[in-house]
Amino acid sequence: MDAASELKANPKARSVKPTRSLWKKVKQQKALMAMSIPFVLFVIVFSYVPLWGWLMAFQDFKLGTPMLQNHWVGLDNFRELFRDDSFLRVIRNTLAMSIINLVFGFLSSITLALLLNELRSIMFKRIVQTISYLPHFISWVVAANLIMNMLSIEGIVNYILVNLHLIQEPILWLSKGEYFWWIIGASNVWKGVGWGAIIYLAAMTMIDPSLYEAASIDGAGRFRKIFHITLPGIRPIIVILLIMSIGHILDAGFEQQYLLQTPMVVDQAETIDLFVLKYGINLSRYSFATASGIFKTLISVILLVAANQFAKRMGQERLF
Amino acid sequence: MFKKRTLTKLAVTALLVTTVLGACSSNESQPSSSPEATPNSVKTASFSYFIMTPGDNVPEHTKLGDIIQQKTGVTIKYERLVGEKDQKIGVMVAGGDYPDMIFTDATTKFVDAKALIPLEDLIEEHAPNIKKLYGPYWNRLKSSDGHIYSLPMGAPVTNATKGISAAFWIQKEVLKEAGYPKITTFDQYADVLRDYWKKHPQIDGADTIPFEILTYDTRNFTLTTAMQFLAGGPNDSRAMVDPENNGLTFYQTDENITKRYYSKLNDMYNEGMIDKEAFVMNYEQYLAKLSSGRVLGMFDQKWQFQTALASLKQQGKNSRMFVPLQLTFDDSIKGDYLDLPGMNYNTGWSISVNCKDPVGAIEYADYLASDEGQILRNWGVKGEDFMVSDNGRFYRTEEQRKYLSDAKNALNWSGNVVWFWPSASGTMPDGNHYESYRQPEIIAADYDEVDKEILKGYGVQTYEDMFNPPNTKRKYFPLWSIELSDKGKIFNQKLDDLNKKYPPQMVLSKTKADFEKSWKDYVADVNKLDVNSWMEELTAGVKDRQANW
Repeated sequence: MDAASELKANPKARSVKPTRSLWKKVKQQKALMAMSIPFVLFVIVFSYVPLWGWLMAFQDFKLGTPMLQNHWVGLDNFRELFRDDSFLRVIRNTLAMSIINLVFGFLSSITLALLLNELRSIMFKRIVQTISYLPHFISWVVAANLIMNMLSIEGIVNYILVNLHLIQEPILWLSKGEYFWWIIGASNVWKGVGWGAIIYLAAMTMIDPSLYEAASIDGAGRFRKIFHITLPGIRPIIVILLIMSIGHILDAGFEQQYLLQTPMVVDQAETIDLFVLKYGINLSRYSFATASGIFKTLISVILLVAANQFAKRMGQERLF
Repeated sequence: MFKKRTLTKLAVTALLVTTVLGACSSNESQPSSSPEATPNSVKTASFSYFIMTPGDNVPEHTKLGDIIQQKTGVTIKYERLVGEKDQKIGVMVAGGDYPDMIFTDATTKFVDAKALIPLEDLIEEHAPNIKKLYGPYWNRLKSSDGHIYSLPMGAPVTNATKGISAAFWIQKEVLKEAGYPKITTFDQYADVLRDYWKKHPQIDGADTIPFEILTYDTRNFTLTTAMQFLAGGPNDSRAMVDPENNGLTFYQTDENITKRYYSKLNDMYNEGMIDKEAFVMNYEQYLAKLSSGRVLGMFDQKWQFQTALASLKQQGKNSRMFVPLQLTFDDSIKGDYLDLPGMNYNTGWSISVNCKDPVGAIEYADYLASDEGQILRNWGVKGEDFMVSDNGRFYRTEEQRKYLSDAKNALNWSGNVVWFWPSASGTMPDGNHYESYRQPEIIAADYDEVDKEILKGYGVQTYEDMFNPPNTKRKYFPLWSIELSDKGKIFNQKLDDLNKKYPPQMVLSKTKADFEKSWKDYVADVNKLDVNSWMEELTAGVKDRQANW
């Protein structure tokens, strides 16, 4: 990809044989390459070598039997996965919660970062930032208990709504399937908004202050500056993060749904990870669990590449 | 200059590393090397023992552990489960990294992974005490390949009993106020709860909850197993077994059992008798509600709300604690609540293939299974931890009971692990119980004034007396311990999912028409599953056990 631009810049390169230039480059950058070897090794050992365990998905794997001595079953595990009655429901829930998380997560973090960036009082800014990112460090087990208590009949949510006369009777929030996705979304925003804002704030400090000065001289107000300088300034970061999150769209979460689900909302709460836990790992069906893992990875890779291509075509910053 | 300095640094680091490592290894070998610790033992040895249930970290020295170590010369390094059980098993098996001994309820998984050694020859040759206790159950202990791999705790001997676990529970105060009526049916139970609730709509300033239901995660018994007890079955779950002809009937879709129960709960809910939050709260919230003293009754297994009982006791709300009742749909049905004394096979203590000295391990376990070892493990040291009356009965003084009821003392006393070994359940030749908590003296000492009043009101000695004795014809018991094929396990999980989804809908139905619709949907969904092959699998299992056990 980069060869083309190089040719444009340096027409002489055309006459040099590509292999020679490659070796020349290697020689030039040998120190850099040597430095990257440990990391490449790390990735190979921990990310690529374990992939041979994928063989399990095509076997009837039994614990304790050496990998290659298991009975081979072809694509049976995948067939079983796609034919399962709950599979479509589980995918629907996963995608719905993921998209809700994605949209609200991005909007809330960017908004918070923009607001914080406009603050003049450093003290106040720091306090708000600290308070807003603290929930990130609370484990979901604790958070789920807090949320369940907040949403119970005597909880603060019902208390406020009833006293404001917005509702007549306390509502059992966790018993209504139609609310569950939004509860997950809201709790994710609560937990992630401050943490997510940090990276955007960092990106905003990289914007050249002279741009703001020039805009002020031209008579731009606060909102103009936000829309014409700050947002375009952090756009590359937003796009990169978006591409990366799209790759994770099938990871809608595990603990939060596991901990917050109630018998009344199981149809909305079960994500693909919970399904795999229940029907794969808990029943010692490791092959089945691996098959669904492969399925998830494939979808993720496809979505990631697609999002990246899309960004490329739109002329935006991209991952690779 | 520079090189010299690096060399010095290297040397110092190396020295440090060796000291640290040396310290570690000398630490490890220390316990087994104390000389006078082995007066009458064969040899000094050390074993690692993994217990596949969570619990407090075992202190290095406990009173009982140290005494046993002195008597046998064997040191046991206990380790308890932290985190998810299935995951731990998976990691252990995948890595082949087994401790010397394992206590687990998933013996089959370890057997499949060829992680355990057969015990029968070792027992025959080296363990006369174990042979004596487990001999009567020899064939039942055998795994499907004919070998014995694990020894469960509590081999039943004379007078073996199992306490009350699953039951309908009712607040003591409610019984007292109603004047200790005889309650034998579910309808009467509901009436008594209703009367109290109408008279006392609030307890300690909070709304009274006449009947509570827990459905969180897998803790779903109220909605899935209570009806089999009402219909006169034991704790089998999903199917009723007729011990006369070994026939099974699937009760989950039975209109006279399951529908009848849900319909009654539905009525109770619409009357306001069932907690509105029943289906949205988690286990902690459930325990908090029970501990507040405003719950009048529920169906549950005792071990599940033990913490709530302890909390009520601590708050001094003794009359808000719960007592068990044996209920059925009507008086023509005989209740069968008490578990038949028996063991859960394919669970328990086992020796792994990594154990270098299986003979030493079984000899140690054999000592613990001797009467001396068992008294030591269950009762402690005579005169210190328990007393013996003039006519030979074991008991504990007020002070001793108080000391051991403190969780911290108990941990330092036994480490809460010394009973994870082969043991007996029942009475010794002299009539005392092996397990101290089964000794009538200990049980009676635990009753407070309210208990005594209630028991007097019903004219019985213990709560167990209010229940029918277990049906000894049920040799197969319990049904749920029959190992299923993968297909059967998936069926179980699918049915669990349906049992989670539909029953709450039925209980919450606003009208009878809604209820009927949910019931029809439920039955239709259950029938989509392969009930028949699941039943066939279990029927074969029951027949096999009835014939061979």
